[in-house]
Amino acid sequence: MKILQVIQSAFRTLVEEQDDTIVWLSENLRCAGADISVLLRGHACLYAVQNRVQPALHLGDWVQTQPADLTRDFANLTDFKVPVYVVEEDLRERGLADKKCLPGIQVISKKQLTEVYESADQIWNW
Amino acid sequence: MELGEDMNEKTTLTFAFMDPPFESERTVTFFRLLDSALDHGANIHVFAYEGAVSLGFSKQQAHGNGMHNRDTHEENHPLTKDWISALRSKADSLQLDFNWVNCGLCVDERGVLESVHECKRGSPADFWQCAAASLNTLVIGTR
Amino acid sequence: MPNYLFVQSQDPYTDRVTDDQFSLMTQLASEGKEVSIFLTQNGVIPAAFQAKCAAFDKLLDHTIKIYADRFSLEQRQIAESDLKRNIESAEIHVVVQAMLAGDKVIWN
Repeated sequence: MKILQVIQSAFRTLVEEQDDTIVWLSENLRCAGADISVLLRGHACLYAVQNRVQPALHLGDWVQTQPADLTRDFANLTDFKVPVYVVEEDLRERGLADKKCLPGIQVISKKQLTEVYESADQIWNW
Repeated sequence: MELGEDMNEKTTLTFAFMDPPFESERTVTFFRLLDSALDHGANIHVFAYEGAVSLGFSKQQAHGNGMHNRDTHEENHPLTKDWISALRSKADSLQLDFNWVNCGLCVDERGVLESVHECKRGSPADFWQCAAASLNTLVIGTR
Repeated sequence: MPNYLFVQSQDPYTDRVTDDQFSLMTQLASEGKEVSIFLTQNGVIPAAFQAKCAAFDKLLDHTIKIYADRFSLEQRQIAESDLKRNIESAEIHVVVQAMLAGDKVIWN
């Protein structure tokens, strides 16, 4: 069974969870044996062009010591041979079309979404 | 977590949900879907992720409503832990399976360690195991 | 071949992401896929006859079956007779039936 994980919500949990919880879940599902691919939509396209660790939060004398690292997480997915797609039009709308995507992330057009959706048995839209 | 041994993989539906009680209309729609799934004779598996692990928190408490001059009993305030119990009872009466798994790490960080007995602790691996054994899975993400 | 059922809870008045969601639905339908939508929660609001929503109305020009959740309609006091053309009020069972049919059921 092939699963397409669609990630639309972005930056929601990066500080409190020190991860994007759906990217994290995707890594876990892959480790559990799931045949998954990941599609980044909307603001989640910003994940595709991240190039450094997230900023650490400081509140009073509380300092975050393990900020989220999306570059590591997407490298893990690539190492696990998980296809990751980002939509060119989403990047373009946000002025990101000229930025370099993380290794292993495939830029596709909206027109190609049909093929991506058709190739999955189930679509899990988070 | 152990799956119900008599879960018929042909008629099991899995649902993944993320929202806590009281913050979104999605919570109500989710429970309506579970109820409908039972009406259709489906065994149910739920993976409660993130905020949804609070849905079964056993220390939820009803309260009165002074604005409407109703005491606790009269107000009869909905509590999602009661909805879970009600659906489990319905499943039992229909001889259907109703398995609810809370993501354990999500439980820990939220401190909602006391759940109603219908809710078990598990992990994403359990979610995958159940989804793989189900006819279909619906994921309801949060916003 | 599995069909698509989109459970549309997000509405185009407040969620601009629905532009892309509707665009995907019409793209799939235009390419011959069987697409249905179950509107629920505030997603039913543009289904009312007098609701002005060009983005939503474009869906009506495609071969997309659109259902509106009866419970959500009742909450918002939108009568069945007030729905736009080609929209049918329905129980939430539609979603479960699609799941049981093995369709690709996608929550927006």
